[in-house]
Amino acid sequence: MNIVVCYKSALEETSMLVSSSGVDATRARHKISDYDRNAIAAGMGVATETDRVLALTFGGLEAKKTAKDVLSRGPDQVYAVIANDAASADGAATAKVLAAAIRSIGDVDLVVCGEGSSDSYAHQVGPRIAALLSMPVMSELSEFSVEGTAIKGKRTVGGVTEFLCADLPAVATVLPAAAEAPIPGLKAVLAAGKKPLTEMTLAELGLDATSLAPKTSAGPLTAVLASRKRILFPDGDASSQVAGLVGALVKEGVLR
Amino acid sequence: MTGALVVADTIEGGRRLITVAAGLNLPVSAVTHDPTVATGLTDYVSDVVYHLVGSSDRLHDYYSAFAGLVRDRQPDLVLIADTVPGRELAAMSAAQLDVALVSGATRLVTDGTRITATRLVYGGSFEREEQLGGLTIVTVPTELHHPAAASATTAERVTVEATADQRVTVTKRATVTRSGPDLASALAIVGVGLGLRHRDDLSLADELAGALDGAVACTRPVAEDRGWLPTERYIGISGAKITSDLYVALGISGQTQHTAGLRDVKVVVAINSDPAAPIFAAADYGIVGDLYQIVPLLIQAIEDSRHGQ
Ligand SMILES: Cc1cc2nc3c(=O)[nH]c(=O)nc-3n(C[C@H](O)[C@H](O)[C@H](O)COP(=O)(O)OP(=O)(O)OC[C@H]3O[C@@H](n4cnc5c(N)ncnc54)[C@H](O)[C@@H]3O)c2cc1C
Repeated sequence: MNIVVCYKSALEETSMLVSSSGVDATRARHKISDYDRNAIAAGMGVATETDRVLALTFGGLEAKKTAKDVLSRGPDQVYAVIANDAASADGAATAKVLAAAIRSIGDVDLVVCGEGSSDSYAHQVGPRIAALLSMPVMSELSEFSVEGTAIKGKRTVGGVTEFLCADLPAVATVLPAAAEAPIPGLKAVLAAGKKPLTEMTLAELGLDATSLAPKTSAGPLTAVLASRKRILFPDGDASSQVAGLVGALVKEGVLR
Repeated sequence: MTGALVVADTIEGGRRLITVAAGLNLPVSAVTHDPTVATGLTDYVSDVVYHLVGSSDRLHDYYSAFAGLVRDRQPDLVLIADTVPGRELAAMSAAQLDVALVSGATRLVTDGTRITATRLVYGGSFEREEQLGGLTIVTVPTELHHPAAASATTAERVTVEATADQRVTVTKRATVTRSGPDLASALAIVGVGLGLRHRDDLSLADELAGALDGAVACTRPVAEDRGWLPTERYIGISGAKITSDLYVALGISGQTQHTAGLRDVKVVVAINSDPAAPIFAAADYGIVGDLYQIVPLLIQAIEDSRHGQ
C-alpha cells in the first residue's frame, strides 16, 4: 500500500524579527511545520514492511531544504511540488496542488496530514484534499491504526470521545498525540542522503498559477503584544506576596 | 440571498453566530440537521431556517448537501463554529464550492461593502487581516460572542432532503466531561500547566476554583498528553478562548499558543517558579514561586478577604 504524508516547510516564528516597521521574515529559518513531524511519524507508525511511505510537500525552493530532515524520519521518498509564489498560496490552492500530486503518484490508499500548520493553522488542507479526491476524512485524530483495508481513529469532539472507522482509501489528519516525533538518529540521517527527492512542477500536474491565486487579500503580519500590567510581587515572604496579590484583585473588582 | 448563513448544531452555538452576523448588519438565515435546533432557532433568525433531513446525526456528514444549499442560495458569508466537526464541514464544503475558508476569525468587521477578518497566525505570535472577496466560509470561536436575543420576526422554516456521506462511521462514543461551570460562562478560571506534578494535585486547582467560584482549565499538554482534564478544557489557539474576569495560571510557561486564548480576559494572574517564564509578560499580576506553597496561602487569603478579615 502507498501512504502519502503531507508536510509543509514553515518559517520558524522565533526567528522572525519584530520592529516598529513590522515583521521581518527575510532572515527567518525554515522548519518542518511542528505537527507535520507527528504526521510523518504517524504515517511511519501504521506502515508495514511492504508499504511505501511517500512524503509530499508544496512550497518554494526553500521547501527542498527540509527534505533531508523529512527523509531521515523514515519515508522512502519525497515528492516536492515547487512553485515560486507558493508562499502566498491559501488552503484552497495548497489542497488543489497536493490532491493533483496524489493523483499523479497514483494508487494512494492513505493520506496523512498534520492537524494544522504552525504558521497558518487553518485546519483545512487535509479535509479539502479528501473532498477533492472523493475520499472520506477523519480529522484531528489523537490515535489511529490501519486494520486490513480499514482505518480506525479516535478523537475528541467537545466532551465526547468518538471512535471512528472507514474503508481505505481515506485521509487522516492527526494531533501530536497520535505519534511522538523524536529527533532522528545519526544512522537515519545518513540513510536519508541516499533516498530520492522527486521534484514536480505545477505544469506537470496540469495546474496554472492563476487557478491558484489566493481568494482573500491578506494584509501584513502584525505582532500580537499582550497589553498587561506585568506587576510582580517579588518582595518579602510568600504570605506578604499573596496578601499583595489579593489586595490588587479586590481593587480590580474581580474578587466577589 | 444576501446576508449570512449560519450553521448551527446547537441553539446556543447558532445564537452566538447570529450575534456575529448581526454585528456585520447582515440578515441571517440558519441551517441545521437537528429538528429541535431548527425549531428553536426560528425565534432568533430573521430570514429562513433550513432543516437538512437525512440519515445521519452528524452535521458534517451533510457537507455535500450543505454545499448545494450554499450554491443555490448564494449568501455573502457562511459562519460556522470553530469546532472539530465545524472545521471539517467548513473545509469539505469550501473545497466542493471552490471558495475561501478563513478559519478561526477572532474579529470580523465591515466598512459597509467589504468584510475584513482578523486571525492569529504563527501560534498566536502574529495576527493578520484578510479582506474577503466573494462568498467566503468563516469559522468563528463562538465562545467569544454572546448568544443573540430573539429577533423581531419569526423565521420561515424550510425542510431540505439531504444525502449524508456516511463512509466514516462512529463505532463508539464515550463522554469525558468534567463537572463544574463551563469555560464560556465562568467569571473566574484557574488554569493548570505541566508545573502540576501529579494528577491528584488537581484538587489544589479545584479548591482555588472553589474559593473563586470559578472553573478549572489547563494547557494543551495537560489535556492531550497527560489526559488529566478533558480536551474541551484546554485554553489556547487550538482550544477554548476565554472571556472571564479573572484567570489564574498555575505552573504554565505561557507560550503564545496558550496565551492566544486569554486575550479577552480582564485580569491575568501568573504563579510560576521560573522568573523568566513568558507568562509573566502576559500577566497583570505575578508571583514568582512554587505553586504548591503559594496556592494554599492564596485560597486562605481569598477566604479571609471574603469574610471581611
Ligand atoms: C500548532 C500548535 C498549537 C498549540 N496549541 C496550544 C493551545 O491551544 N493551548 C496550549 O496550552 N498549548 C498549545 N500548544 C503547546 C504550547 O506551545 C506549549 O507547549 C504548552 O502551552 C506548554 O504547556 P505548559 O505551560 O503546561 O508546560 P511547560 O511549557 O512545560 O511549562 C510548565 C511551567 O511550569 C513551571 N513550574 C514547574 N514547576 C512549578 C511549580 N512547582 N510551581 C510553579 N511553577 C512551576 C515551569 O517553570 C514552567 O514554566 C500548541 C503548540 C503548537 C505547535
